Amino acid sequence: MEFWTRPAQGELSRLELIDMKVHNTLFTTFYVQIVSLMKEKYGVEGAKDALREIGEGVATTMWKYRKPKAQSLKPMIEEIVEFSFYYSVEFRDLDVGLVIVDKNCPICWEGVVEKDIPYCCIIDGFLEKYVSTASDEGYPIPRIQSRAVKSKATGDPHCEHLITIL
Amino acid sequence: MVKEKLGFADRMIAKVGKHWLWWRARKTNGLLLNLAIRETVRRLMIIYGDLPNALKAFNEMGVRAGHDLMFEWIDTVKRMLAKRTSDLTVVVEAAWYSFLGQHIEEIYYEAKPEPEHIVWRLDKCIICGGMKSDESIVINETTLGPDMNYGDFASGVFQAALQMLVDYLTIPKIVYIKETKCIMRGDQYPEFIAWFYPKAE
Repeated sequence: MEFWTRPAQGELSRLELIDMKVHNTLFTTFYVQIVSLMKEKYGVEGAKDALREIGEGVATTMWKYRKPKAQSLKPMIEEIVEFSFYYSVEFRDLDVGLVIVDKNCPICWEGVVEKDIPYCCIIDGFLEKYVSTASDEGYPIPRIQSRAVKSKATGDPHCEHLITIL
Repeated sequence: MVKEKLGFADRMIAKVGKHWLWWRARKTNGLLLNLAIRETVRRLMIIYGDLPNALKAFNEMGVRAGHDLMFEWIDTVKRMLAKRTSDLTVVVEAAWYSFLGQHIEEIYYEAKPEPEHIVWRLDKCIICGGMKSDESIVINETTLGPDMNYGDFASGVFQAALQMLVDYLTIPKIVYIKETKCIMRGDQYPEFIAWFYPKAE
């Protein structure tokens, strides 16, 4: 049957999407615009919250389609980063939690400059929600709070997210 | 110097080159992008009041963002560029694949009816995947309104990117891109059209 006259294809399912990859640049190019708009509408602090909320919303639905196998905090964060962005992060231990050292941040692309906001704070919301949902669902890990404390876009050599165990 | 039209060898290079561009690109999970778009639209709906206005704002953001997208790409793809508008089908096809990892099912150029235009159609759409059954945000023919489609942010991005390319090639045209068919509207497949309007002297 002619491709364009056959019955409707229906939509691409989320189970298909979870196994698909797209060019990272697609998101990073419009993220610049989102950050700018959020600052204009909500101010610096409000923008951080709004960006984290976008990350949380992504994690809430993504959780339903990809549950981590790891049963402890660091491997779980590594796994989430790996299946979301296809690279690895490093860690530094602290008394009250840990620091994710991200030398390949998918958000802070070369050339982007943002003075007011830890640019990749959207990842905070994403990780925080993913890990905390795992905790709520019975994984033997604590709930966490994630805050970007260094960001390449604000001039740091790499990005860092402070993970506080709640 | 930019060629007047693409030859057979250039087209073959483009066919192979798009796979190479895709292979070397940094990737993000497809569902993650799809959901990031949904969450952005949701936030824009809070700011602008309803779905059509949110999509309009998103499209405008896409137009502003498109330059950045093409800026990196243009240097890599110089070999597949030519001044003939119909040859831009090769560029559109390569760009679509290298950014989305998705083949365009059908693409063609038409000089008539004026303005000359390029039409491309896809089998399935990464942007609206999963959205029909998403109860957290209702997107259909009614909520979209008459003018906007769910993939129109991508129209904005590609419009700006293609305009930058056309300017680089010194083709005196203004590019306008619209998603003309959308699965979320009930169409069988997504379709985009790029129109090339003559630039006023």
